[in-house]
Amino acid sequence: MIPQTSNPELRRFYEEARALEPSEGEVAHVLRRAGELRRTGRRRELLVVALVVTALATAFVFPASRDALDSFFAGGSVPGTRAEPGSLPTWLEHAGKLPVAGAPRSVRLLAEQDGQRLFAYRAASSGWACLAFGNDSDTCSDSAQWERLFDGHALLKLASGVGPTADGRVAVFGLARSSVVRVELRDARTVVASAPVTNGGWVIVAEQGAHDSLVGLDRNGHSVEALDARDWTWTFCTRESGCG
Amino acid sequence: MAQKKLMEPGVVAAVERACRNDPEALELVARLALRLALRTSAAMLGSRQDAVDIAQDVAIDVLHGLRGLRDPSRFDAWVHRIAARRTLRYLRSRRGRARAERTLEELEEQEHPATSLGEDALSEQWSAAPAIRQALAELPPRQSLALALRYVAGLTDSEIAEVLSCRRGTACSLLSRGRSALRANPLLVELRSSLQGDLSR
Repeated sequence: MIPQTSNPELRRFYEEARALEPSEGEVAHVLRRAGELRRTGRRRELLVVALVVTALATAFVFPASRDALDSFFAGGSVPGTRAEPGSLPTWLEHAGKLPVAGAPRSVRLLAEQDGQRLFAYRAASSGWACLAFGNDSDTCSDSAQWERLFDGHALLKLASGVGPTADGRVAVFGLARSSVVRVELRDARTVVASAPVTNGGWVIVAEQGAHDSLVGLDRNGHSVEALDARDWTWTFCTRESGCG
Repeated sequence: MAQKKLMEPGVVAAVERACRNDPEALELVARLALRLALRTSAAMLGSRQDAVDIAQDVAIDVLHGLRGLRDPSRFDAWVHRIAARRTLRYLRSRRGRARAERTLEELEEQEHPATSLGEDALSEQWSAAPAIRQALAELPPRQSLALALRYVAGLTDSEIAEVLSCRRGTACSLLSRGRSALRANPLLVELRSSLQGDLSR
């Protein structure tokens, strides 16, 4: 097919274009890129399936601590695992007389170390989210206050100087965002105690005295946030020792 | 015609085997798609270097969408449609405009006078004379595409109409106006005169 033009240069141009061939390198490049795209597509499909499965699994088995806590603070279900009978603080065991919504079944365990337990429940009268620290104390707040406490932080210390444990040590209680999987109590660079974050809560037990910092670690062992622990209460008074 | 030559009897079988991920068939299909797209795009852009990027994208699209091709005997037409779409998009893109501007500069500076394209012309650096590239750049893209589909891919009026998703009459009109525009382009007239001048010396 010769173009109907009197210009020989133009005619030659079309003839030459018609004779062009791809090089071996260009064919190889196409095959390589197409293969990569196919593999990426397959990986993406697998990733989507894996993400959906993970999301469904975590939604029912291990609620994401951040979402679970946020939901709890905002009036949603109480996170954590079912508390063993007899493990609740005495004032929650007999909640018939106390303002605990759905008590005692609604009281759930967030975290535990050396018999020191962090519980979550919802106050019956106000609907506020409440946390109980061992047999020592509890605290209740509305959602706005919880958000303010947690705002911009991955770690939150709620109570210290709780105890003593059976061997005379002291406990500290707190919450953590889902990015933190473990907390370490450190004196300078020495780790003196550590504990996992479970259901968004943590309990760490340490020797009385003074300690420097509490560090929240992610699943790769990297520090997410460090709290200055020097002003926390690391001792407690007992009737035997007196409280000065 | 080029199209008839490309549509070998084994092509339909190769397309079917490529759908089942046969490596040899995939290579053959990639080569065919690359060849068809390279020739059409080069005839529109006047440069192999510009055309090869488009042709590779076309071939990747072809391999990626091969399972969606219901009738393997329509392979050529399908590739032409993808190549046409990609080349037109390229011409309308900023990148296309930038390269057209560069071509203008080359023309003004006359660094590359119209050359006779010898054996090296079909190498990877193949490029038309600046005057031809400029004349092609001045053509409306659909006219340029219609000319490439006729004179390079060897398509009939009806086949061009199918690729361009228009009526046969519209395809004829695009071809006619494209030819007229090239014939009347002063750059090509000058090019012809200068070549004749060179020869007469």
